Amino acid sequence: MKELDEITIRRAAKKDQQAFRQVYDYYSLFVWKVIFRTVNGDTEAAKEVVQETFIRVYTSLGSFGFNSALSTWIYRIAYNTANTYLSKKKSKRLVDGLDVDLLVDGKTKENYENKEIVEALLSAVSPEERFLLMGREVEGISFEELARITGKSSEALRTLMSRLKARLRATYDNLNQKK
Amino acid sequence: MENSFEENFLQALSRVPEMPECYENVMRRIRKRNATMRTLWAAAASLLIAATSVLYLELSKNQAVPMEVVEELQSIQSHVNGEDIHQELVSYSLVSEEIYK
Repeated sequence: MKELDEITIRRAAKKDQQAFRQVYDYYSLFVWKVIFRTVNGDTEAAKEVVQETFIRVYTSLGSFGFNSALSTWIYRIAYNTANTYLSKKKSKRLVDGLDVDLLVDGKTKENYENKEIVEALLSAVSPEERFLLMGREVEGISFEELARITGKSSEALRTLMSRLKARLRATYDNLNQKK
Repeated sequence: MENSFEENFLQALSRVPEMPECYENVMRRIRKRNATMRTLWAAAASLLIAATSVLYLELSKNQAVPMEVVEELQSIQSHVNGEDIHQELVSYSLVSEEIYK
């Protein structure tokens, strides 16, 4: 991800509101996408987490040391904020926001009871795994960056991701056999 | 999981509703928090000042004057009132005190 210029970031760190608005406009959509899936499609929860994330960004940007990309730093805040939010709320798994039609290709439409399959697949995925899935597979964040965000090693994340995919595959195969 | 399904699954995950406008809420909440923090700091500072003042008053009320200062003040008072003239005459006289008797 191409980062915002350093001058703007430094101005935002000094509480320049115009510069902060630029930081918000630049990074909020990425945060929204990842967080929306992490909180399992709960729009209100995602809104709350995104807002809290940017409040923390505003108050702590002065301590950002340019040791990593700003996006990594913001994702880390978003990840921690979502974890705190979910542990407080014990969020119910929702699939309302998922575009299930995309899961259906013409040939196999009969086989997939789409919503059930998607629900079953998502129920096998924890919020943290969803964050990783979104970050890695959808947003294309490198394992090294994900390691900095989550505080885990990149090797551990690689293993976790391959196990996650295997689990999704197994769940999908199971469901297909039952049909 | 078939590749096409995996692709579709990830594509479905990436499809999220449009992001609602949050910036104004973020700024409103920051202002609210700042105001709350300022109020809390002001309250804490007022409490500290009040507590320090009470402590200072209590201490100055109970504080005893040291003995050396009392003695010094008494000797100054005697000197100013002329009560020690006789004593001084005796101390600095060149002749014996017996002469006065």
